[in-house]
This record gives sequence, structure tokens and C-alpha cells, in this order.
Amino acid sequence: MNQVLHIFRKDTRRFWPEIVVFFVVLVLFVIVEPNVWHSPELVAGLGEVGLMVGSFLLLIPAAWWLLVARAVQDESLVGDRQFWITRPYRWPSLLGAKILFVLAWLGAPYFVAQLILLHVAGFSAIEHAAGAAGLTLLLVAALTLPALALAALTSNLVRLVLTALACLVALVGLFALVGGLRNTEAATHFAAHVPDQNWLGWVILIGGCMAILILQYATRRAWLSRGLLVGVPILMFGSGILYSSQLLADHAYAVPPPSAAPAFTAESASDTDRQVMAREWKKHVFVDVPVRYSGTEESYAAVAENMRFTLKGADGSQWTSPWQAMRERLRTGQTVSRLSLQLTPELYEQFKAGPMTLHVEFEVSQYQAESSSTVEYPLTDVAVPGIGFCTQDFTGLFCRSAVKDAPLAFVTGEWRNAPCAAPPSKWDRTLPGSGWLTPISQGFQLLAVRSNMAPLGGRSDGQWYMCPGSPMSFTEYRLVGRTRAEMTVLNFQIPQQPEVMDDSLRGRERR
Amino acid sequence: MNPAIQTEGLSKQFGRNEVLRELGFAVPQGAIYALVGANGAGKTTMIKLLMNILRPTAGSARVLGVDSRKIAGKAFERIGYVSENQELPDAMTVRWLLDYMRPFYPQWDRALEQDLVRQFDLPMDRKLKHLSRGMRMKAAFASSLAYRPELLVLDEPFSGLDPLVRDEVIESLLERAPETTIFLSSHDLAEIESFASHVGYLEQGRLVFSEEMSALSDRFREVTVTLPAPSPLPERMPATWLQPETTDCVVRFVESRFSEGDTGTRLAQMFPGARDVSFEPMPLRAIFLALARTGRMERRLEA
Repeated sequence: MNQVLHIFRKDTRRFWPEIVVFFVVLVLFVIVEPNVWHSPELVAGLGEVGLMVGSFLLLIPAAWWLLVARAVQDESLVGDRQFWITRPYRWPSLLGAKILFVLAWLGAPYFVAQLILLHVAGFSAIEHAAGAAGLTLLLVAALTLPALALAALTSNLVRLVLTALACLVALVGLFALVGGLRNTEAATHFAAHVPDQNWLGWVILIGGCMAILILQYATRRAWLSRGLLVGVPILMFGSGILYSSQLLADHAYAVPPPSAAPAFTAESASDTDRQVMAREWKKHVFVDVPVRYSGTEESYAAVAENMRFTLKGADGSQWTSPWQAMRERLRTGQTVSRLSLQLTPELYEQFKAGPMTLHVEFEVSQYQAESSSTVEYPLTDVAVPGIGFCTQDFTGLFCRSAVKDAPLAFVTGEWRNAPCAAPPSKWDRTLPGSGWLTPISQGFQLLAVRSNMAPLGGRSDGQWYMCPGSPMSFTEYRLVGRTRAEMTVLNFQIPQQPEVMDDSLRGRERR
Repeated sequence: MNPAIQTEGLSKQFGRNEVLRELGFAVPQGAIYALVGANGAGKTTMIKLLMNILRPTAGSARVLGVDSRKIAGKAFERIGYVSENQELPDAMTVRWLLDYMRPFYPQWDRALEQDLVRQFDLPMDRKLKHLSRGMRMKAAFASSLAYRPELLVLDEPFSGLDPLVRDEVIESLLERAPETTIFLSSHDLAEIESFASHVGYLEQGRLVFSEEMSALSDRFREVTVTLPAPSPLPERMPATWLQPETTDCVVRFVESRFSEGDTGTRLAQMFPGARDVSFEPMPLRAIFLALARTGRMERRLEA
């Protein structure tokens, strides 16, 4: 007898109602999901359909966890009264059966659902099967391994949920504690400080969960395994700290030699039309500084990923912020936008009095144009090489890509001041429209069909239309390096009174 | 022939609480060994150590020749285990349980399974969670006997069972007895006496004795001495005389090392003018009570 298959068959028979519920959720999701591909609002979870899709995106991992917990805890590894522990179960077979259960009833259906969605989205399911399989395996590892490990350490679903919450609270608490000590919001500080994902964190999570699983199935020494469980969030926290460390950032974004051409030049663009503004929001003051970027070489693009700033007061006082995430994309030519400096109210009060020196450092990713393609602005869908399929949207374009987000791409189009159905006339005017193609993050990147949008700017006042058949160009970029850039503003002055953006602060002001 | 179970210095501590202290005993193959003792004596812990559900703090145990710490997986093809506290797969029907268990055991006897189902009158299509306690135990027995285990370990198997079910289970055990060594813990001394071949007495984590039932019966006697006149108990009575008491001219006690010659000689020394002496064999229950009360009294005196 193959114990793996035997136990798997038992679990399947035992949990078929839960499996059916998961299938129903998955089928409904496959039916509803294509509706959001033409609407950024729906992707963002707005509106009834958007909410429904958002709910499904939460229901799917919830259903995964439920099924995993039920299957593992059917042969509970905690306690000493379970009938199975005095039966001829071999632990590798038992663990193998649970993993097979996860792959067969969670992984495989999810994989098939992704293939169907890819097909419906216009992609070749066969061509992207390997990518969808990889995505599924990654999701199985990232989502179900923690569930498997927690289920192996708890005797029922309630305890599993409580333990998961405790782990989450511990992790968030550690980050908040460190964030508090550094006088900044933890989420801001740790959000996007390193160029790549925290792969070490993922390795710790997946490796730790596998170690817990193997240890628990092999020995059923719950306290030993629980010790490991405590270690996983601590190590993940350590990896988060490591990834946010200046050492790593300096290594990733090396300061260029003085002779090297800068990735871009940044200078204050403050004038009578564009002034420095300050606003209070969620117990922080944000000082918005108009900045003009220029100097990016032809056929290159630069993305300012993160920045930190230093304020030097006339009295010699100085404060340097932690690194904060930003994502300013720059091409050749000039770009003017606002840089948001986050301060605590105390720091704001300290520095608002007099002129100071503002010094900003940027962590920059450098890209080089790799290919470009020209298509006609679509009525419905148009295939764009290297990106996927794009469709019209009232702000510009809405594109879907297969398995991974679309590459960094710059899109140009043509706005017309007359409705598309109107015949050409001498009053017709056209304006170039352009924008960056931006991935819209969905859930936990659960999906093989990714949504990206490209709001095309360039319109002036009045009604402007992007008409089917008008030319559009896509320039794709590839990452070529990472570097630093900086900006210094002398005699920098911030407004004396910030605009209050939320009620809690208004209340505080009154008091 | 190697014993089915053998322990040496087996001890178990939970924190500072020493639950079992240096147990050493052997269970011969083919024996029906009853481990008796009061609540909290350590019987269940002992069984869990043998089944590798718990690990010993010190000492060792060998079960069917295998170190108890290595008993897992395939070793359980030769061992059956039924406990009053066992959590059965409640969502399964009896039929499903038997169907599910069958492939785990290469030596599963389908005919015996059907015999057991008939004998226990098991409702095959009822879920275990819907069965009475007695029926659940019988289902557990059926699933543990059908593969003819070499060793059957039972933790309080008769607890809470009505007499009819108890008889059915014992009858079924006795049918297995020649081919299966049975090791059980129980409070049900009257039942045990009827079929156990060996008995071990556990008190406060210590094994007071472990021997064949017949030897135990032979060495315990209730002794009644009739004196010519009322007299107090002698000051220095032998330690093997348990629970001595006197009423008027009669002295009663339990002799735990009975030998007609030796006991007679000591009686003659202690009670030289005794008019009459009688020795009555004792049932297991009376022996157990005498030992338990003596132990309790000694602990009180120590305290």
C-alpha cells in the first residue's frame, strides 16, 4: 500500500465539502475577474464588482488556510490522545499526503484557473503555463507553508488563527517599535527601502516553515517546534532590519564617482506659481517642495526609488530623515513634480522658524530603452509586443500582462479636441499625450493576469479625446544599473502654518 | 524466550514532579499482564512511555525487542493499543474506519474482522461520534484486534463500560490470548482477577510488586488469630503483616509473605497463647485495598 495515496484518498473523502466550497469560490472568481481588466476602479476594489473581486481575492487564501488546517489537524500533531499516533503511519508518508492534498486540491485548481484567465485575457495558456505554474508554486509555498506549519503546531482552527495573529502582531510590533525608536512611521521606513524584494525574508519564512513541519512530523515535539516558530518572525524582523540597513542600501545604490554623469539633476522649482506647501495629515506634517528634474540622457530613463533629506538650520541644528519610498520616473527633458518631505509636528515646529539648507539624496534605478513599438489606439483590445494587451480607458490606457507586471514602459498617444465620431474640421487640434505604464498591485500578486495602467497626460482644459486609430508608441526600458543622485536647496523656507487635513488634528488645534 | 516488554530503571518526570521512579519489570510473551494502582499512580504514563507517546526521563523499555523510543510507524503493525481516552476519527463510520485501517496492516485478517464485527454487533454505517462509549470502545477493539497483534496494550479498557460490553470485550481478549501478549491497566480488579496471568502494582510511581497472579494469591493471606483474652497488638510486628487490627480477643491482619511454616512460626512467637489461627486466601481486590491503605497510612506517618 502506498500510504501517501491512502491518506490522501481519506482526506479527499473527508473534506470534499470544503473542497467543493473552494472550487465554487474559484469558479466565481474566474467568472468575475475578467470584468476588472478594463477598469482601474474595479482593480482598486471600488464599486460592487470591485468589492466582489476584492472579496474573492481574500476568500481564496482564507479557503486555502481553512482546507490546510482541516487536513493537517485531522491527524493532529499536538497532544497524546490521537488514535493515529499508535498506528503504523510513517511520518514522511503522512507529511507527503498533506502536501499532495495541498497541491492536488489547492495548487492544481488554482493553476488551471490561472490558465483559464490567461486564455480569456487573450494570452496563450500553453505559452505561459510554466510561468503560471511557477507563480502557483510560489503562492503555495508562501501562503500554505505557513498554514501547514501553524496547523502542525495547533490542535484546532481557532488556535491556529490565534497563533497566526500572535505571530503577525509580534512582527508588526517589532517593526513599529523600531520605527518608533527612529521617530518615524514604521510602514514608511520599511516600505521600499531596498531595490529588490526581501528574498532573505522569504527564505526565512519558507525555510522556517519547512523546518517546523519536518521537525513536528518527525518528532511531534511541539515545544521544540514552537521555539522554531518564535524564531521565524524574529529572523524575518532581522532580515527586514538588514534590508533596511544603510550598509545594504549603500551597496545597492553606490555613490557614483565625481567624474560620472549624474542620472539626473534635481533643483528647486519653487516660484510664484509653484510654492512650497505644508499639510498636516495623520499626525505628520508633509512639506511639498516643487522640484524640477532634468539631465537624463537620451534613450535612458531614471527612477528615483527612495529618498532621504537633511535639514540644516541656521543655528546649526540638523536632522536627517530615514529613507522614504518614492517612485519618480524621469526621461530626457524636464519634469516638474512635488517632493513630499515627512516631518513630525515637533520637527516641523523646530525648523519652520528660519531659512535652512535642504539636502536630498535619491536612490536611483537607471534604465535604457530596449525596444519600441507603435500601435493604433484601440477600440477594444490591441496587442502590444512585450507588454500584452491594452484597451482604452478614459484616462489613457489600461493594459494586462501575463504572469508578471509589464516592464517599465513610456507610452505616447495623441489627444484630439473633437469627439472621435466627429468629421475632421479646421478647428481640430491635437496634443501629444504621454505617461508611464504602471502596474496596479492586486491582492498579494495572486494572479497570472496582471493589470497595468497608463494615464496619459498632456491635455489642457476642455474636452479631449483619444481616438481609435490614432498612433501610439510604447518604449520599453530595461534596468542597467543603480546609483545615487542629490539635490541641495539653500535658503529653504517652509510655510509657517500647515494646512490641516484630518479631524483629529483639528481637534488638537482647538484644544 | 525474550519478554514482550522489559523495563529497566524506567523513570519519568514532568518538571519537578516525578511520576514514575525506576520501574523494572518484564512481561513474558503470551501473558495477560494487569497493571493496577490507584488514580495518579502513573499507569497511563507508564503505558504512554511504552508506546513512545512520551519519552522516558531515565531508564529504558523494550517492547517486542524494540527500544520504546524507536517505536513508530512499522513497529505498530505488531502492536495494538486501545485507551479509554483515545480520540478516534469521529467523522468516520465504523465501516470507513475498518476500511481505512486495513491497508496499514499487511497481516490484517478479513475473516477475523468480520467475526469481531459480528461478535461486537457493531453498526457499520454509524459515525463514531454517534456511537455510545461502549460501542466506540468495541470499534477501537475491532480495529486493533483484526490484524492479530503480537502485543495488545490497553489503558483502562473497561472503564465506563456496562457489564455486558465488558464481558464481550474480555471474551474476545481471551480468544486472542494464546497468540497475543496483553498488557493492560485497570481499576476493575474483579474482572482482571478472572483472566490476568500476571499483575503489577504501581503506587505513587513505584512498582510495589510484579509477579504471576498465582504467586500473588499464594503469598497473601488474611490471618485471623483468636486469643484467650483481649490483648493489645504486639509492639513489633513483622513489616509483612499489613493492616493489623484487634477486636476483643481477635487479631486480624494481612500477611503479604505467606508461607505456612514461616508464618506459623512467627505467629507462635507473637501470640504464644493463641487459641485458634486461620488463613484465608484473598481476592485481588482485597489485596489491592490492603496495599493501598497501608501505603496511604505510611505516607501519612512520613508526613
